[in-house]
Amino acid sequence: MTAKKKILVCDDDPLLLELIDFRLRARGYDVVVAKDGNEAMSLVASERPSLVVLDAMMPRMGGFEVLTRIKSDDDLSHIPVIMLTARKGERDIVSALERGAEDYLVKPFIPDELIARLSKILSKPAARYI
Amino acid sequence: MTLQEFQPLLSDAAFVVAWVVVGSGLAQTLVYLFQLVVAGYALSRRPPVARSALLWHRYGEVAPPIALIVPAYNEQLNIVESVHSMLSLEYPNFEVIIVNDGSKDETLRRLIEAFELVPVNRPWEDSLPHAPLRGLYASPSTDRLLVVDKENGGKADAQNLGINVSRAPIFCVIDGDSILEPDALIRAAQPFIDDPERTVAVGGTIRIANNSVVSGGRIEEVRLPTQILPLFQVVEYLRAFLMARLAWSRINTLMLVSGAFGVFRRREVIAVGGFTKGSMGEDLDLIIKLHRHLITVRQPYRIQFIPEPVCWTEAPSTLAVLGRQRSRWQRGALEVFFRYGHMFLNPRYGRVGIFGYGHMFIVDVMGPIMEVLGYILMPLFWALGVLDLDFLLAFTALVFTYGIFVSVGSLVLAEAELKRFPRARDLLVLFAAAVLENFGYRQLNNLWRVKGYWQYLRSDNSWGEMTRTGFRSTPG
Amino acid sequence: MLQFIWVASLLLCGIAFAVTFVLAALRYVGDRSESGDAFARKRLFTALVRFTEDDDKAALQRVLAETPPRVIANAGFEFTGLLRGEDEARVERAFGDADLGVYVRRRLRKGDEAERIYCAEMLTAFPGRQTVRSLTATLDDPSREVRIAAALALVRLGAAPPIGTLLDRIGMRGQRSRRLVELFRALGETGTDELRTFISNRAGAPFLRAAAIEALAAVSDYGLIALFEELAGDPSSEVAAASIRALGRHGRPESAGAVVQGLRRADWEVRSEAAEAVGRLGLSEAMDELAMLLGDDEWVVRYAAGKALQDFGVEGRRLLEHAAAGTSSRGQRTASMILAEDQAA
Repeated sequence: MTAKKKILVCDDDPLLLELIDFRLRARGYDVVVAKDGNEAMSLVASERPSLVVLDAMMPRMGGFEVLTRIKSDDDLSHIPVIMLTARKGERDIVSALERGAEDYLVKPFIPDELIARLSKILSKPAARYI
Repeated sequence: MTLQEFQPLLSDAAFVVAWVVVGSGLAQTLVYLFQLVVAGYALSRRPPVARSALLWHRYGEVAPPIALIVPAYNEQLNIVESVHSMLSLEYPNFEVIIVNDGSKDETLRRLIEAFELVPVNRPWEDSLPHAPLRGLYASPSTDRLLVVDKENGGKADAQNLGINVSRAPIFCVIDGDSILEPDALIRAAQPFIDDPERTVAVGGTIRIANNSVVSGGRIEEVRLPTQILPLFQVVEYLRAFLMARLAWSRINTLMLVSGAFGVFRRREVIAVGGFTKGSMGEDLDLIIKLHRHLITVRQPYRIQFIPEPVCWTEAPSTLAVLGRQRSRWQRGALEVFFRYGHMFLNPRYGRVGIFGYGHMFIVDVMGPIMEVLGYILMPLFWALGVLDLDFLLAFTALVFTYGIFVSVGSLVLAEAELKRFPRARDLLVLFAAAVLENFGYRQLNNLWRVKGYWQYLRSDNSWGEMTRTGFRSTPG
Repeated sequence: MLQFIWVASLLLCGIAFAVTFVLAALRYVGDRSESGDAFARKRLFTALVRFTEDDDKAALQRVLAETPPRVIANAGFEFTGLLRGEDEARVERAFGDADLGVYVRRRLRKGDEAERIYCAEMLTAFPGRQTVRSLTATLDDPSREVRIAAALALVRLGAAPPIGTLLDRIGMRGQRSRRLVELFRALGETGTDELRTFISNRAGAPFLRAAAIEALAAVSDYGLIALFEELAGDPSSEVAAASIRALGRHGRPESAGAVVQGLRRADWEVRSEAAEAVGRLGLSEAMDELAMLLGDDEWVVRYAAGKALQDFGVEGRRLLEHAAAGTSSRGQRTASMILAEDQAA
């Protein structure tokens, strides 16, 4: 058995955190949660998660900014990021992908889809650094 | 002339003066009572309030783009956190435009560092006059932020340039040091969705954040101020917003959408020339210009106040700062009243001329002078035996008992309809404040207002020099 | 008179004081019952989270049976609001099995305005004859917002009466709301024929027709192009602007004629939409006209024309540079600002 992969989930909605936390743990992942952008940044650095699930509208620092910071930091940029947000505008989706997000899911979402996309990203060779 | 001959003359004069004072107080009280009744009616029939998650679901698809325009002058302490808080607002399509109004501190540098701002060019419409632009900046990490750097020109000037560079059909102005609730924009946008053709301006509630727990640019826990001055202001703001604004909005004569939190349609604001520079009450001035313009061109319109969107602000907690603020508001009200004096009781301006201007005349122009006069003369006349006790009692009733009734009444409205305060105990504390503010605080306020009167009369009433005494705008 | 002022003030104050104390007492009692709901809510969330993973219907039903229906209606739908697709449907079916639909239909009649709107929205989770009947009855609700919500729910359930009836029931005042775009969009998903007829009717209110066009534009049906082309010349500026925007979105070059005509309209809304559409469709024959619009009276039009020219690459850039090099004028300022936008300052 390899060690459990650690996923960082960032959202300011406690209900959503509870849902994703439970579902991911049930599938054998280790989960860390953050309730705002600042907490997310510090957890990315200290916990070194295998993947980050990121909301866009969070207090302290928005998800797009967290994304940009992760992707522009040489130490962290290899960590894949999936955006999970209620923003469904073309502009938002394109700009997130341009900034290096691996995937973009719109809320309301299908938990199974999130899990499937997440495991696909994690199994790609690009994730070999982890 | 002997003293005996003089006596009846004095008595007659005192009688007339007393009636004028009581009459003015009575008019003011009747206005308040009317507002209370209308506000109660409006609240009981107000559009439905939903949880904010539902609003996104309900209006997210049809909500118009909004530009959030924030003038900033020497705000280095909070600016970065404020911008983070604004960027995390829950609204589908908005842009934050920070206008650095030639700050002498590090406001701009801190923004540049925190958001890794880079200079950009962007086409914009130079339709409102403004002090020279020094540069536009954007952030690589978010495309919702634009920072405008300009030479100092005052708040109105900064807001005008912000309006110029904004692209959305609707803009929202707030102060750099205030905090919007995350759902404030989507709630304030509701009239622009429900009645997009007529709605030109919408004001929301301003609440006092002193002592509430603020974390990460959001209000985490609502608490009443522990200091007495901010606590009195909580009651004042309840009166100003839940009673006065709501009532005037209901009968479509709202005269003020606060510059500390107001949402406007860009096209109409540009048509009236934006915010008037050098005006003390530039928010009041703008709304009156909008009324005048739209009535003149016969465009059907609505200027609305809705209580649900909330913007938090820190209220002055010292007598000196509060006093300056109140004198300034009074001066602003007088300036605006006389600048557009031709609208007063002018049937051409319909309800706005009669009710809106009538209200300003009774409350802002006559109110403070008459009340202060009353404090001095009524007890004096009574002591001299020129007037009987009934006059003194009537005056006392008009100042104190009706004052208490109106304050407590607004509190009742707030509780019955909005349940704004978290605990039952808060209600009792506010109740005590609503009673106590009439003894001392109210008088102090009137004194400050008379001082504002004096400042207005002494100044040459031209555009005035660019005094910068802070960013707050009139709530009441 | 003077005495009356004094006595009345005391009386009013007395009443206000009494009301305040009653409200404070009510609040005290209310605060305590709310903490009970908070507990039920938490328990329900946990059960729902588990259910989405293990699909154990019996376990969920046990919790639902012990949860007050008002908590399910609020917390339960807050939860389904996170989900979509089969996950959402499964949870909603479980709510239906717990007879929540009955409760919601009752609140749709008896609740306050906000609750009635919410109930109308919730009912799309419980399709069936009874639901359609309650929603149809709600089209006569005294509140305009509730009527709109009920109409939307009916459309989403595919059980709405004809569009004319629907609009009649919503009433004139509600027919200015942008919410109708949602309504039309939902209609567009179930069948576009009705909407086609609606937008073609010149007697209809321009605001509504424009909203319907906006909704139809989201449907990718190339059969609509001809209709939009025709409506691009509609006398109403709102209808024309919406149609031209729709043509731009669909990106079919054969709509060139209608779009280019729009550049010459007197209404600025139409000119600006047309300029944008010319750029989207890549109609190089209209470039000179776009260059003229750089000096339009309206900024929105000037800007749209400039951005559109930029979309034409080298040739458009040449026109912009030419305008920017000219004597100082509105067109010159617009062109040079558009050109500068790409470069860092």
